[in-house]
Amino acid sequence: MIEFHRVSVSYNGHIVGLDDVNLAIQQGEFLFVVGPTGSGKSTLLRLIIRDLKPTKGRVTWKGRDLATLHDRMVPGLRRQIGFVPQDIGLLPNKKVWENVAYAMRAVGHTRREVRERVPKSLERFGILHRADAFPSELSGGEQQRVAIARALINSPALLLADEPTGHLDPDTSVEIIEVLERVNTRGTTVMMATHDLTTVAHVKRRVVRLEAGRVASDTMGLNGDD
Amino acid sequence: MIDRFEFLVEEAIVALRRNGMMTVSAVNTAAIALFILGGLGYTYISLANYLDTRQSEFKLKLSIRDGADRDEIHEFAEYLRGIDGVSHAVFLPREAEWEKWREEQNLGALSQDISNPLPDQFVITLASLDTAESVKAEIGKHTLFDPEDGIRDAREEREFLTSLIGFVKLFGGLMTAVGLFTAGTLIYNTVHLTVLARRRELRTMGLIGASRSTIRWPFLMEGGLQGLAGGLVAGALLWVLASYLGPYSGEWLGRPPGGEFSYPGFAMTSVLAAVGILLGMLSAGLSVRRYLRY
Ligand SMILES: Nc1ncnc2c1ncn2[C@@H]1O[C@H](COP(=O)(O)OP(=O)(O)O)[C@@H](O)[C@H]1O
Ligand SMILES: [Mg+2]
Repeated sequence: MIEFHRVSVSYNGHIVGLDDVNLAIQQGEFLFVVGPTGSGKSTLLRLIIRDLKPTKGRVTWKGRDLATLHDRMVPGLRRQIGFVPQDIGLLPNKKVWENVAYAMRAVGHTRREVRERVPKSLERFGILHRADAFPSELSGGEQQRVAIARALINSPALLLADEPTGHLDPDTSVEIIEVLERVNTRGTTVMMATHDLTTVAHVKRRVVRLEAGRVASDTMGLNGDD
Repeated sequence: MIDRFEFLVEEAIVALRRNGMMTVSAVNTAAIALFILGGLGYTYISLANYLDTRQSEFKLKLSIRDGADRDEIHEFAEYLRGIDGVSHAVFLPREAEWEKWREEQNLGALSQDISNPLPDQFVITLASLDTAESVKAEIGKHTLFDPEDGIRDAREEREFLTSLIGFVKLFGGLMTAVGLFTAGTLIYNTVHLTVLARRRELRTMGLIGASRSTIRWPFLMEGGLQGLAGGLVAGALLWVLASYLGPYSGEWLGRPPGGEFSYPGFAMTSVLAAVGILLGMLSAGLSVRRYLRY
């Protein structure tokens, strides 16, 4: 589904974002990208939604080189991918349900479809009772849930979650990961970036470990028994 | 189609409502800027118009040699009308003038025996005062022109008016241009601030798959609506101001008393609203553009 072929990213010509990364992600996979802060996790995810272009190498989506994708086709790509940014990125002037609705409306769904799907989605992620709140009135975990609900509202083929447990307590983190696993069981490919190894330790999944922009290991489970 | 339009309009209106103080300050700034622009522009236009009407009151009068026949006079009239800078040339036959003069002076039978002392004349209206001297030179070249009487012309007054018009056009045009530039800059700055405050939102919208036009349109409408509101407020203020000051302006411009002052309030307000919408949308478009790159 996604392939990284000798991908390097350098910011401002000298700061290393990624360094010669090779990686292949299959449809239906659940994959953690781990590594300390600054190791390149966000850079990796942003390449996939064409928020960045590689300085060297090639990133392909379903066989297509993303660097050659015309700007006008970028929204089309992003509509196949649900993205939970590291900064959560809720629109502060919109209520919870409006945030989710915006993602639907912006890609052309009707008001009626919004009325049908948004409440179901909020219910599914346990935030329906906060539907009329503004993001600033929510806890960190609730905000994460809204961001995930928004990322999934258009049933994307791939979900990218950038540190969705970033500022959460361990219990809530585990809950969020369970939510993502459920999403994955329904067929969505999931990539989650995190620096928090304790949450990853709970789950036996593929783990790609980055260090200073390089892939340090690519194993099944945290301790690498494959 | 309608659904999408509704969505974009709703986005703009919700943003206007929820951005509270930002909206208020953008509208305020637009109103002040457009008020200044409107005031300068209107003063300039009415002054220039007024001077133009004064301009058309200036006429050149010239006499024709005795004994010219109708064809010659006709040919002379064509010659005069052909001169650059002449807008009208009217023939005053000596008989008609004589009749008029006698009636005016109430001479009646007293003047029966006196032979008509008046020459045939032409009255020339100039298109613009600057050309008076060259027109006079052209007239002098024609053989039917009678140099003895010369060309009658209120020259000093005319030259004063010419330089006044030149000054008003230059200065007024400059002031209006400065006003437009100031209004543009002020409106751009405030609209840009409202966009700047939301640049993370712009980015987020892009990341979740909104197309550029979907992101841009609500901002354009928002800027346009802010400009529109500013224009309406400015138009209303100017209207009020003009209806207080209007009666004095006639005096100030040396207009004949009793001349009705009429301020084209509706037209002015419409123009300011249109300029506001234009500047608002332009500012929003320019501001958003920087944050809509992939
Ligand atoms: N926009 C940017 N400009 C300059 N340097 C950046 C930028 N984004 C990331 N970097 C640098 O690239 C490296 C990798 O960053 P990032 O991918 O955000 O790491 P992570 O998500 O693992 O914390 C870091 O050294 C970071 O400082
Ligand atoms: Mg990061």
